[in-house]
Amino acid sequence: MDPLLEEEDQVFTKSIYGHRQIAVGEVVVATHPFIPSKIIIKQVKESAGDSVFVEGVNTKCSTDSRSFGWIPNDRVLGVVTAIV
Amino acid sequence: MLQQIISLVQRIHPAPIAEAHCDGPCGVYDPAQARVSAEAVVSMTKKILELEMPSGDDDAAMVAYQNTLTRYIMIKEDQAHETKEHILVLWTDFFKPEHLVTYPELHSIVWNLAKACSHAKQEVSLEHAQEVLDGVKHIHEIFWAVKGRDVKWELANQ
Repeated sequence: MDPLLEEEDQVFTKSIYGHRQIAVGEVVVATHPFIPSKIIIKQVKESAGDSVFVEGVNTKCSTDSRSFGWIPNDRVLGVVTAIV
Repeated sequence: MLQQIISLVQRIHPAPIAEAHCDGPCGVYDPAQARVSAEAVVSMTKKILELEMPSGDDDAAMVAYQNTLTRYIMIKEDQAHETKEHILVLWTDFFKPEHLVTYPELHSIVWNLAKACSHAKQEVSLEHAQEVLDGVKHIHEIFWAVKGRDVKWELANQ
């Protein structure tokens, strides 16, 4: 996710539960659709209401929705609100 | 000040780690990992089927037999699971939607191969073990075809 995020950056997130759609361009933290123990951080490229299509900033190095498909919103742990 | 507060919160309640790439070295994939594991499944299945239970009241021979059989079973279990994991990593991380255009059967090949791995664990079946190896060979052929390279399928254990 460089240059947006660097190794060991910390982020604050806000839960999306019950209140809003996820917008294109937002960065989300979600559980990997096939590996539930893994948490991933990606940027939203498309939002379909109940699911999002996410990609990394560096598409050549990123494993994302181009491989594992759309992520249901209930797997999105939160939208990034701040990087510290 | 903010950093100090964050550090304090981190010490009390560490934040989970979110991965941006999800992989180790970018773009390093090779179905050879799955091939080695699948070969081990076939090999261990054969060894289990060929292992003879000792006759008579030789306790030491029986203990040795049970120890060997247990080891064979454990290796078969582990390697079948590893085969499945290697294939699933290729499926989820390497293959892209454009590959499905050329190989629309890819999903069902992976699905059937993962099932075969489970059957190879559950049973002592040379048929299922061979099914695993054959499935990996199929993935090998598709994998190298989409990379535009002609990589020969060779077994380590001929």
